Amino acid sequence: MIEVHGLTKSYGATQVLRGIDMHIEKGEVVTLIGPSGAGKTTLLRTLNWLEKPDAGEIVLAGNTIRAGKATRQDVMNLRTQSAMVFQHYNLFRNRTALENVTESLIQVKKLSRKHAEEMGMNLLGRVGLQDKRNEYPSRLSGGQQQRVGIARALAVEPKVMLFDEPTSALDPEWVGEVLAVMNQIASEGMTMVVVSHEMRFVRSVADRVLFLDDGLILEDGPPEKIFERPLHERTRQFLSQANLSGV
Amino acid sequence: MCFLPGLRFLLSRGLPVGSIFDPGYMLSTIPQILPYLPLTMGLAFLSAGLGLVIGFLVALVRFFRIRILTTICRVYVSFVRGTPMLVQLFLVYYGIPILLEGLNAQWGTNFSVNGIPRLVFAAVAFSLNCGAYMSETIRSAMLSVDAGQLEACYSVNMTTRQAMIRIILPQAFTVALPPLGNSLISMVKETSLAFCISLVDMMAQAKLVGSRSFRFFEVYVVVSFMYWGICILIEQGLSFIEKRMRRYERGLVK
Repeated sequence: MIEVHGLTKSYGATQVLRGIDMHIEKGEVVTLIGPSGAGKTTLLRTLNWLEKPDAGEIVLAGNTIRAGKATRQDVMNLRTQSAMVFQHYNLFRNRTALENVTESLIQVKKLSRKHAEEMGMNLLGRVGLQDKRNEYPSRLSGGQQQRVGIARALAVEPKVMLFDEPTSALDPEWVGEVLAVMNQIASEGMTMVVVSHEMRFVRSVADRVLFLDDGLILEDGPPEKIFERPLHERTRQFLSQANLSGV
Repeated sequence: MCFLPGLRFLLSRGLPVGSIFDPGYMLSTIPQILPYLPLTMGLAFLSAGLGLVIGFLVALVRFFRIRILTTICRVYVSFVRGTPMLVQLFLVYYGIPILLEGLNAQWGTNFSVNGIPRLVFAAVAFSLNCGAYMSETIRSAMLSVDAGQLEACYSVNMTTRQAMIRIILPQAFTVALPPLGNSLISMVKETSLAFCISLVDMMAQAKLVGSRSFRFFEVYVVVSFMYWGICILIEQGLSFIEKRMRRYERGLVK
């Protein structure tokens, strides 16, 4: 579903990604972990072309996009196949919950308002927020906002869903409701790439964990292996510091 | 002692000298000045409207850092902000005829300077002035919208154009509205400079009426209340619009 070859990215003199290669199968749930500054979020964002890599190539659901040679059409194709859920939700502040979901249906997919609203209500139903359809984001709790964010991403009907620390800005009591929605989507066979340190999720849902350090993928394997028998000392160090090992 | 000649003039006209302040006279000038109120308001709203268009275009150019145009826009904004309105008014008033003559000489066109009403000169000068200030307001309002909003638009495959029209600009406009309202109110008052290019607006008419009686204070009281009245109405209108625009914001506890 996703192939990444030799992806690099620098901000000025700082190299954030130093040649990432990865391969993700259809239906796999992959979590990216690693210390801050390791390049997790940057890697995730390149998959939605919100960051332009300096070199390398991404093949996502059959669409190939190459750094430096990406046409507008390439970017559009990539973004039709992938959708992003943001750490700070980034809901459209001037749109209600329902309008947040229908915006792309009406503007991008050119559906009629009626049809879009039907689909929108369906999607809000999937995240359990139909009763909040007319609320503006400022009137929703963090957990509710993030669930609308997920519904908005689902509206794209993506082949791959990208989650950038979806629960790290949430109060503990709201983390559960967001994870429940994510579990649900995972169980329906969605391919998901998740930057998260949320152990409950990583343990119960993730098929694979990638440990990133300093712009490179250092470890790649199922959660049990990474947490219990990491190959590298660096991984062990990170896991113990982050209180993630043996949880 | 400088008012003595005027006093003698009043005496020769046989006007009541006894009252220091003449409310009756003041009220009697209202019907003479009021007919010029639409012109003042029209000029202000026209200039502010055109200024909004100019300001918006300049803000877009600078927001997207379009090459060459950005430099031109920066020079324009800097010049307008760095020179007095009155000077700009004269530059336009004397400059446009020269420009047209130049065009006529160069291209054999036949623009007539005399055909242009003074109102046009004033509107051009005021719009250019207003546009420069408004462009900065709009640009900073656009910058105040969180970058995450644009990213969210991109992530659901909206184009930059759609993102701007549907998401970014409506939010920016909410932020920009109070300072834009300020610009409009300033514009209403600055139209009083139009007298300097002999355009008879509310202010000019007041001056003319006053000079007939030499009771300038009374007419200026009248005209000040007219300006104030317009501005109060604008304030009310703006706060109404602002409340509507901000309906998606979280309200503060009173």
